[in-house]
Amino acid sequence: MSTPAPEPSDVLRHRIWHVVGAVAVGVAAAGFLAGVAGPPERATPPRGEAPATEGPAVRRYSEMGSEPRGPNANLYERGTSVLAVERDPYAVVERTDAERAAALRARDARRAYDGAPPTIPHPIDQRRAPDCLACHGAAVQIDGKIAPTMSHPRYDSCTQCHVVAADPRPGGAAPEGVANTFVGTSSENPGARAWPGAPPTIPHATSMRTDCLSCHGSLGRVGLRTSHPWRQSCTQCHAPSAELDQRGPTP
Amino acid sequence: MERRQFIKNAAMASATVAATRLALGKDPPKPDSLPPTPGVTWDKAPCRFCGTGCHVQVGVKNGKVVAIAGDRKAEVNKGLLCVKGYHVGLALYGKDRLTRPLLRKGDRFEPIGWDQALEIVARRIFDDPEGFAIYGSGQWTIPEGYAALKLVKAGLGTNNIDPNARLCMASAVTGFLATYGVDEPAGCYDDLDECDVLIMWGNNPAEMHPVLFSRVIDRRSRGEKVTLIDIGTRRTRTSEHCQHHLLFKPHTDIAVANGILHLLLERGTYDRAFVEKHCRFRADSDPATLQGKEIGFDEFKRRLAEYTPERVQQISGVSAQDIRMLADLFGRRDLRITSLWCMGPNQHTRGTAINTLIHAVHLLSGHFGRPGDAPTSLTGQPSACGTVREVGTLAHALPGGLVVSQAEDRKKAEKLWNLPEGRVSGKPGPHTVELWRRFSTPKDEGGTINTVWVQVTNPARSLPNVNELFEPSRRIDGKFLIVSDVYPSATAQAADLILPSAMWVEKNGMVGNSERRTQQWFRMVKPPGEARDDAWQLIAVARKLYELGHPGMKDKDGRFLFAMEQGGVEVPVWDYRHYYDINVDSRLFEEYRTFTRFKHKDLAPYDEYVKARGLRWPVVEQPDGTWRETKFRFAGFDDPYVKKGQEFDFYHSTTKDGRAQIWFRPYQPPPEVPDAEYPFWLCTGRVLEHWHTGTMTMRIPQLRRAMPQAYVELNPADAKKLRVTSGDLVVLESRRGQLELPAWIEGRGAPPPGTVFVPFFDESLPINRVTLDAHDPFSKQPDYKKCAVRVRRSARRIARP
Repeated sequence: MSTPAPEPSDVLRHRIWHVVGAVAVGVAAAGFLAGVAGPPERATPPRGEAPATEGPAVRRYSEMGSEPRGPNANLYERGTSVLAVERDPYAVVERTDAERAAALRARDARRAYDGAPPTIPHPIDQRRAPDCLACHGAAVQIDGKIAPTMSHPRYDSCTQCHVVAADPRPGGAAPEGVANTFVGTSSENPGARAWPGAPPTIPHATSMRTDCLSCHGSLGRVGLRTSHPWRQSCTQCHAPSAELDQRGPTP
Repeated sequence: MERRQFIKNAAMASATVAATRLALGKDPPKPDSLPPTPGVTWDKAPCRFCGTGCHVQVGVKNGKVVAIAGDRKAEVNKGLLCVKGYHVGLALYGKDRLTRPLLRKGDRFEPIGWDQALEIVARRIFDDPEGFAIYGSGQWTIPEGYAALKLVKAGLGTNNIDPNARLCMASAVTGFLATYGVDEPAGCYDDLDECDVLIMWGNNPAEMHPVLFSRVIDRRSRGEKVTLIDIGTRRTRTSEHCQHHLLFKPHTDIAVANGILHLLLERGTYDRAFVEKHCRFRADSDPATLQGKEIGFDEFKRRLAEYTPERVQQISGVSAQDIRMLADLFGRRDLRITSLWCMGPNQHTRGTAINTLIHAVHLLSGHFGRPGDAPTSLTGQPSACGTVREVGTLAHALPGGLVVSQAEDRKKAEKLWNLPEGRVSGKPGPHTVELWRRFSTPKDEGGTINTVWVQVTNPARSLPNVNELFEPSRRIDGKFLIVSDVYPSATAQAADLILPSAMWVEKNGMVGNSERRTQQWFRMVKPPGEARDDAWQLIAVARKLYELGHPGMKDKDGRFLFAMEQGGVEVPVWDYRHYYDINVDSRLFEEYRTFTRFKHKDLAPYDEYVKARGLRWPVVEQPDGTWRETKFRFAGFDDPYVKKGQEFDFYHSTTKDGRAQIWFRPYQPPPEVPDAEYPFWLCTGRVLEHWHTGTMTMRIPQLRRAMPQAYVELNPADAKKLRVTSGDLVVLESRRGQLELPAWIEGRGAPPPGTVFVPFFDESLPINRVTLDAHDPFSKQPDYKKCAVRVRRSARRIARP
């Protein structure tokens, strides 16, 4: 018994499945590559000279429903797909020296010195107590943009320490100011190790940086992410500095 | 066994390698024993900016400040700062620091040597001591202010010295004096940790005293219940955190306070026991004096009868319901209530009146003297309390709360200074507004001040009505302006002689904050170029005068006024090369300290402050030789000067009976009100990012970028009527002057209709060309918070990028 020749409609059906399959694989591959590649590298500006605005303007809760805009415009429509991205918390995190250096440069560009409160890279509501915690309460990543979680305990007056990096006034065109020659410390020194392979000590003050995962978690800057995010008790192995934490006999 | 051990070892080794690779993502680097921040040394200093008095840790490397951290050992800020404090180190490094003395030659300045500069200053003083005045600052350190005061009052025998703090807290001083007979708050910041209700009178601490504000609102984050009430003339960031925002018409806070007093009496909810034991009642005398005249309780009640909630609502715009709400709170004994205020009630033509009324509300209701129950006025400058109020760098004052008008006080000063009798003049000098008016008036028209030496402040921008008080002096022949500053401020640029100064951690210093806390720091870096300490400048000029033969520069034994010895050998501290051979600050402070016992403002020896993050006076020596600070003055449980067994004792009472004075102050309309011609109220003030006239903060990129220019806040309804949108240029005009600046609608603050607000930090947009110099009759403090202006859209447009 010979196999009956396929019906033309079946051929068409198979071809459609091939096309659909190819498209699906292609989209997935493109998506994967895009995800792996991340946003294109930009030249990192020098200390304290980061571009004034990098993110969308913060809006009031009341405006969010009525005026969707920015990268989060279709957040709720896309929400399920964003959440569906599976992360393996036990995946090995590879970092390179170049990534670490880039992360530190980017970090420095937002700060006058290591330990200074970073400036805010997007417009905010100047009048009301801003709803910073909507995004910065727990870190969120949407479309490659990360809103990091606060590194410190919750304080209610965010704008006491964090100010916007650009003229907040609409149409503002203020004259240039006098230059400043201050050179702040940068966060370049890696923690000291007692021997190769020993856990490094914490090279910075832990005051206002008590939540290590803000920078070192899986939504921290790429080069600063810990290789072992599943371990929760950081100071079990990484010792803070008594001097930097002002626990020693400082004057 | 061997095999098992081998397998175990192999497993361990591979696990270690894996873990190492996991931990590092690469092969392990070489051991690294460097300290976390190599070469950085840390030392304490109070922040350079406001009157809160936060301590910072200053990180120094290779002779430069490289980092700042909140000082975790500091009780004031507990390791936290505000954005200004975190960036305070950058204030030293603006590119245009003044590094050489500069003498005006026509339209430009010519660098000269220090010796020539000192010679010029000394000559001006020597030739006309009566026509010479020092205009100082609440940013002077305590030793600087003390040296200036001594030069003028002990040396020149005049009282021609007044500070910019006259413009910021003089009404608080008169308020304290009229109520308690002695200056400065009874409570302290600990009240902020204990209060159930915090009332802010015309105050925006979320921007002006952010660390104190977050100290309160962070309590709510921890689950505590604190009720915040903002009584103000404009909606601010503070209002956004408050449960109640009571908007009053400018100047009518007096009616609001009277409304509370009225209800407390009417309902009998005042604290009868406290009042009967510890208070008396007063009202204005005729002619009006700071002490007024006594009125009885019944007369007090009768006078307040008209201030019914409905009447107060009519005057102030605050609803009768809200007045009742305030009276309900003050009527409760189970709550702790703290009041804060700063420039709102102080920069007020009835500043003394509203200050005494806030005290009156607390005293009548007994909300006084227990932790959390306190009327506490805040200061805007780091040493308005320490240098101005305590050292007494005012036209009428002597150190330690003494006054020149009292012969007895002058004798005390002359004795401590070892002066011949009669050296200290009993005639008070001109207060700030009067001083500058005389400097801006020709000599033959009564302008008796011919030379002014300005230190650590910027009157060309901070005086009110500068068109009348400052500008004319620059056109009148024979007027000579000397300015000690760190940057070419507007005042320095208008000067005849500029002296470059050292600032903050470039010199030793001591300051005193709003809660009576005296703080100390050491020099950590060297000033740039030939910039030198302000105290040295004063002492060096005094020495020049001594060499010229000015008799006042010697004490009655012929010794130089600022003679300092080490091991029996005189140290020539007037020569800058020897200025740091000894600690001049500690010498001046120890001398000043002898004055602080007269009015129970006892300060500890210098070395105690070296160890501490500030101590609150009176600091009293204990039997075991330790020094104990006082948190709650006049309260028996804490203040060692309260009579044994007394719960409260106002031991400097003006009625000499241990009682505080509760004042009746009627509401009176302000000197200038909006009318058809000038229909808007103008209020001026500050913003979070900038401090004073911005000479420091505008040179800090992070702060300047966040708020790069002044603006005028308009209400949206008014803006619509004026056809103005955000960013449009508008012209603001008063009877005294005008200013063109961009509008910002729905910006930082929200003024009610008919009101506009302009911050004064921007030297390039000087709003004090528009403000009024009308001032309080007692404190002589001008009112920057209200005058009448008109607003129109400018014909010019801003060039936008």
